[in-house]
Amino acid sequence: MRTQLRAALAVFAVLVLLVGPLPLLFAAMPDARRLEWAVLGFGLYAPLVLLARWYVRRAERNERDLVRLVEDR
Amino acid sequence: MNSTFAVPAVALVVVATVLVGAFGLRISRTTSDFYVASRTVGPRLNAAAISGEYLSAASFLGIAGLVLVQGPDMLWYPVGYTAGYLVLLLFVAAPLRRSGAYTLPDFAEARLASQAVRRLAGAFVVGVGWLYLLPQLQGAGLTLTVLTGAPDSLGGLIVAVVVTATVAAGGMRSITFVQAFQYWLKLTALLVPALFLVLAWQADGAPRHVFEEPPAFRDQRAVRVDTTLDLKLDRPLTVTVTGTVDGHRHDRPPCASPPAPTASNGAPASPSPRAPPSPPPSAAATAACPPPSPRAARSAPCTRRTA
Repeated sequence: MRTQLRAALAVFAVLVLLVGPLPLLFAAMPDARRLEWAVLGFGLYAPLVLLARWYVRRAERNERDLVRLVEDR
Repeated sequence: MNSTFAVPAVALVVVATVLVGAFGLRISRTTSDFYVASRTVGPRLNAAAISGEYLSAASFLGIAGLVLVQGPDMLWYPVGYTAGYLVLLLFVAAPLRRSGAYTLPDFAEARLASQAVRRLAGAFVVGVGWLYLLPQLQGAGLTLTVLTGAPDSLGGLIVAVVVTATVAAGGMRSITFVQAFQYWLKLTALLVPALFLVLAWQADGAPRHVFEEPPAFRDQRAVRVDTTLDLKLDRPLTVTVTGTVDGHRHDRPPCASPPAPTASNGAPASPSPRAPPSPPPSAAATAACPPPSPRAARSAPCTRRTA
């Protein structure tokens, strides 16, 4: 259970670090309308999907590990 | 959209939704059947169903309107929804699945062993669902009104009946099929016109300036404003009044207003520019540009010449 929580917190931290600086970036470059469209409209979704995929893989591996641990005993 | 096509189109979608729901119908016997379709739904189907929820009236119509009005900053909303799904996966969905509970109140009770927490969680679920449903039903009613001129409540009523019947009869299995079907339907309905719009835009030489222009009426139009309105007139407005305005009697001879740079006195004009106000003052006011309200007409210098 602790490993699952650790995976969740890691993904959440990556999410915050990824999305959090974006408003600052856009505030620093007020002329970059096209960049804002590209990032918010399209680009940001791919990393979000990859993060979710990594988390699901990780969680399922943790579950399998736990099952193996229990069965070996 | 032409209303002769709109009614059959809406009816077709409703019938197709009911049919897909019936196709997924296996009479739910157990709790597991009802809530999670006995965990028989594959990830692709489930992803389509959840995305079907995402492409709702509020997110699609609302975001499109917000981006049009406020600019690309509003794209943060869909990003927020998506990041919210990710957080939901990390901290709600995954622990919920591992705990084996079916609903959030179940989960709360399982973790905290408290009946009061269970009730509280149930109240929150219903409350959030209520807040979510209200704009959706409003959007359904509005869309149906725009398309067919049906009364406001009919769209919400149809949606509520169809969804309630599908969920009550088939549980999670039916509603998953329905949502997945609607996802593909909505995606097609959005992408095909979008593709043609982009093609038409490109064929037009990809003009950008039209988006910078302030919106303008290209032909004559009746506009009804149901709120107080300040009119600022840069040029003198000629108003001819025959009849009574605000209790003052005005006679036939027309008068031209002297050139005043701004005829607006900042006074809140009363509503209903075109239609006569409810206590009819029998004022026939003809205007050159924005339709004046009775009070604006009185403030124009010429009409102060009371007989």
